[in-house]
Amino acid sequence: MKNCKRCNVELDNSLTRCPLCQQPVEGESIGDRTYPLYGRRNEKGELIEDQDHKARHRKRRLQNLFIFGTILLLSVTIVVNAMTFRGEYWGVYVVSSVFYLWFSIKHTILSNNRACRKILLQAVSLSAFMAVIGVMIPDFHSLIDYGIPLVLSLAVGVEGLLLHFRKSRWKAYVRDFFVMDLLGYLPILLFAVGIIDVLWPSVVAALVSFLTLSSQFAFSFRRFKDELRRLLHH
Amino acid sequence: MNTNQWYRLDNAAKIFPTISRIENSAAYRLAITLTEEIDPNFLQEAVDQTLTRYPTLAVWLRRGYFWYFFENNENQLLIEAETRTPCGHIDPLFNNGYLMKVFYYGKRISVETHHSLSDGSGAIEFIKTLTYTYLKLSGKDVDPGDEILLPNEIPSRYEMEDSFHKYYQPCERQPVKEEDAFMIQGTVFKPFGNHVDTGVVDVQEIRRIAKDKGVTITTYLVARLIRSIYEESMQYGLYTEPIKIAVPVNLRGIFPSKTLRNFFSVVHVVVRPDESMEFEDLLQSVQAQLVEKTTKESLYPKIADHVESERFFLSRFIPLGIKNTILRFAYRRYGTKVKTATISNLGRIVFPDSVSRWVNRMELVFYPSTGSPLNLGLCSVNDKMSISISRCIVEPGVTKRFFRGLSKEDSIHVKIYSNEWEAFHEKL
Repeated sequence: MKNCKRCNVELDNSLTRCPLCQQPVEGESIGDRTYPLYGRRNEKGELIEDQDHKARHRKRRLQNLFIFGTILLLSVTIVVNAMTFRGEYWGVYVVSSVFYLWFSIKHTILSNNRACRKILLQAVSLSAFMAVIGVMIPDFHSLIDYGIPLVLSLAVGVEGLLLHFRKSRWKAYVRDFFVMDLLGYLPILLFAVGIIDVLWPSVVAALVSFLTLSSQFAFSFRRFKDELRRLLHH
Repeated sequence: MNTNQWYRLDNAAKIFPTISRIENSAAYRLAITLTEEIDPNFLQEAVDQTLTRYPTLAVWLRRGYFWYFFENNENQLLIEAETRTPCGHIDPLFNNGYLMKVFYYGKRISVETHHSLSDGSGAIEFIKTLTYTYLKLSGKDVDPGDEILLPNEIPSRYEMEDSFHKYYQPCERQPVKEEDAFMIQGTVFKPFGNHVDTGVVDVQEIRRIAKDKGVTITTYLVARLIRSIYEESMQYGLYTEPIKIAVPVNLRGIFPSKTLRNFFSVVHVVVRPDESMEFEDLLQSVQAQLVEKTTKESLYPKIADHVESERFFLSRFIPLGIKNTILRFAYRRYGTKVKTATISNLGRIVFPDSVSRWVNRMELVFYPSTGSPLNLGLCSVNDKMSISISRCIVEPGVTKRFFRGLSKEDSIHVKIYSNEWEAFHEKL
């Protein structure tokens, strides 16, 4: 039986120092430990280097380097644009392009998100990017008239196909699908308020959304109804 | 089991998925140490059988547009050899979707449960069924008696209900602004992990001491903790914030609920450092507060507060992402800052005689977090009470004073176990 005289408590026989006062106690560690030896260890119980930890550390450093590089690029762009200002906000194109690139790398290329989430985020970010460019450069207004509706139609269509053909991932996909499908009606709303000037691409986007959702109801009505009840419970 | 079953999160559970992260796992550990080494094969089989009896635990968490919800998880919950510190973050991605984990080490089985699934009472029932099933599979002659829910029984609907809504009564109440509490400061372990010191005491001995002082065991230990925090952190200097100890109250003892999901409320025992910190005075103050704050009349407004905030029109229809941000802020403001530490007492856990002779002791480890870095979990079985102090900070002062208070001032025999994370973390 081991005791710590300073703390007046009995200690588990496997302890070699008192956990309360941190002082060593007499005697070797006897018997089984109450808790395991922590850390990555070899068969003899010796600590080995955690390669995963080192890899994570390297990745974080690289990420920080990119963040700093981006901040540097954006600051220089804004300052140069401001100092040489001749009525053109060209800095905005650079800033929005960099943001779009960052977003794509983080949420589409490097992300572990499921396919439907990646498509949703990519469609939203690409549409936002096109909206900024279209607003800033009048010559590029076609990006708003045609680009946004077509990107959204394509995204809705692909999500519908994924939902239909990848049955095993149905539950993982369906939540993003609903959001994507709703976004398909956005261009026609934008047309109604006069932001989009050309009708047919917006009609195509709304039609694709309608047909995709209808097909889901037609082929798996019960499942869809159940899922909607869960997702929308409040 | 209905494979298409889904459940709304109960009222208390709604906050936990939002706030849990590595430094605040929201997962507590209930562990049972048997008299023999654990056989992983029997344990895996026992877990598989036991989970069928607890459909509200065999779930995975999904995001709705307005709230999270649980859905039946048909994957296998794989047991693991214990390699990490207690109450670590449970990532469902690496756990077959489950929000609970079952570990084994030596003679101990540990069940770590995310608080969104259940409170301590649900976890006790689960571990009792698991222990019984494990012992039976390993060839022991055990009889479940009336105390254990059996794996082949059909779960009652009472066990799955959200009792907060069932016992909700609209009531008049004054809005109370919670004052910020004194926070225990310390150096957070890096890499993050939880250090646990468990003191095992004889229940009869500690009950006698508490009885001599005219208080309950919980009151006695709450007062000891307050005294330890005061001596370690506030004795010298000018402090205005009160020490506030959060004590979860099992509402099943007050309302006749059979639910295996969350059904608890938290009361705060508040002591100002300028009040007399004599131990006898502390005991009387704590006892008076606990009696006053745990009556049905005092708890109704708390239940009403929680249920009404869930039913509030805006909170129902705000999208989940925005709600999460608001809840995180509210938790930091009203959840963490208003308590100094938490003491959770699961009380006496009863097994049938044929099972209890294979049980050595049990432990409750309550997750600490950077906002609430030291907590205390209590439970007893076979007349042995385990007092587990978990912390995520290096400084051991409060723990030392707490156990020394028991052993030196009241001459209670304490046997200390420790996971020694304090010693390990420096080498990793």
